[in-house]
Amino acid sequence: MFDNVRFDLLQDALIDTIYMTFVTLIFVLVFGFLIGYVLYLTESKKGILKVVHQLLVFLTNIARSIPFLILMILIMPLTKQIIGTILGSSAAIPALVISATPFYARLVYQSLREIPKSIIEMLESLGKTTTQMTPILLKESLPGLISGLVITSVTLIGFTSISGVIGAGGLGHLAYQSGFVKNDQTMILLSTLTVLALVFLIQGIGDFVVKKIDKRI
Amino acid sequence: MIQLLNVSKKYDDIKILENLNLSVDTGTIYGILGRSGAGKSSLIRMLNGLVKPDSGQILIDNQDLTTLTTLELRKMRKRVSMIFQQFNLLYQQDVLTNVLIGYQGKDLSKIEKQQKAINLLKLVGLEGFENRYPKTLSGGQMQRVAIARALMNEPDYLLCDEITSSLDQETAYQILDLLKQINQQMNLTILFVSHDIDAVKYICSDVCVIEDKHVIESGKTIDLALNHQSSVSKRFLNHFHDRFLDKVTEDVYEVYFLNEINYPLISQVSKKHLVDISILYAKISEINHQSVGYLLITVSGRHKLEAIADLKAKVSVNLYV
Repeated sequence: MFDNVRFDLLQDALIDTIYMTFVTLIFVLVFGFLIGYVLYLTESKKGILKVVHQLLVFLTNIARSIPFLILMILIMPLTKQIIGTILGSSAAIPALVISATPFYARLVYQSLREIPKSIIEMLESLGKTTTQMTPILLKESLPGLISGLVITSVTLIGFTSISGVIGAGGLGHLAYQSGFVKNDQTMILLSTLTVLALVFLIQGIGDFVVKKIDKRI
Repeated sequence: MIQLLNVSKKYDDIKILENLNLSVDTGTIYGILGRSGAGKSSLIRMLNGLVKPDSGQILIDNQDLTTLTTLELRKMRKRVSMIFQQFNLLYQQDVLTNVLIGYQGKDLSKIEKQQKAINLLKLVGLEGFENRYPKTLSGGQMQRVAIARALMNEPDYLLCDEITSSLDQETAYQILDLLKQINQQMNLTILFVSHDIDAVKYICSDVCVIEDKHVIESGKTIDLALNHQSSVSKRFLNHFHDRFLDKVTEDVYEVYFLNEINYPLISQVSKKHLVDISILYAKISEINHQSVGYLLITVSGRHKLEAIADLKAKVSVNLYV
């Protein structure tokens, strides 16, 4: 059954998927975290901070609402300007970043909101500034932040597979081109199993890390 | 010294406090009594700047909190620490870090800060707990960590907001003893907000009652307890329902006495004046380290008035009904 299987193609596709996922994740971690934290800081504030909050909510909601495939097509001119091409693994990254950043930002925002208001009150009562509170709050919400990153990673693997259909590399591309177009059922199966293994691995490592660092339970 | 002058506060047009005045002397343990929703927590939060009054002045050592800039308020907060009902510990940090978080100065090195935190943990009875996490602690131990955290800045004032309400009685009294010890050792002024009358009378040297948006009574705890016209006295001493007196047809007198009476007072008066004295209710309460006795009695017989006069000469007696 596996005699004619091109394992080299499978290996290249896996590397492409990992590359797309992890490079995207670096951007998502930075931008998503910043947006999520600003959303948290500007919550229930007045004046300009309220405007900033509402604007960020609006933008993240829009970016989250556009289906990934449509988003990829929509930002092709931008992708060409940044990457220089609309094909290949790197070309998928801008769309992946735009799509996953608001997703992670929401998870960051949610994790920070789970910190009881009484903790903020306690820190204020001690005379802490917002800058002094930041590392304390981050440590307190660390399990949620890491858990959110794991969920985002798994979602990203799904997005990379979709992006493969319209020209990006990776396991999605392999399953579509070698499997669907050339009617190679074995390759479809192997691509699927590889994606599953990758997802399980990330989820497993993520769960282990969260369990290790979570001191609340 | 803490002074509140004509302080008013409302939430959504509902007035909580109105032209409230209060004065707390340095070195005291000052109890603030009142029903739920009376504005006690708002009041104590005002002293740390967590809640701003709508009008009035809040003077801490003659410095008006309401006129301070954000920076000045932050500096002031180092002198006015606060402990909360729910401990508010950081569950992702160990006990030592939870205490260290209380420090707001820049004068100490990392090692000095750690040593200070360890010493405070020793003071609150948690020596060796440095590396434990809050989830492994009992409620009383968590409150001790919160107390150590509040002492990191060596404050002059310690605000306690219902800090024993979520603890069992035995643990609550251990915490109260600790507060007393801190008050004496550090000459720390403690403001103790509670609806728990027993806790207030056990620990507070001074007390006030907030009712209907105002301070309706304030003074030395023991003086108020012995004053039959005081609402504090009623709260402290006669925890019974008036209905049980419905069938009593004679006059009922309240008798108050301070500390021990080392002779049989009731028996002596009864024999001397040939009257019958019935004790309807009796209670001895410990109020701020002193024992206060409270009796409800009826007196019958020909020389009833003389007997009562005799009692009045020795202890405080008042016609109840």
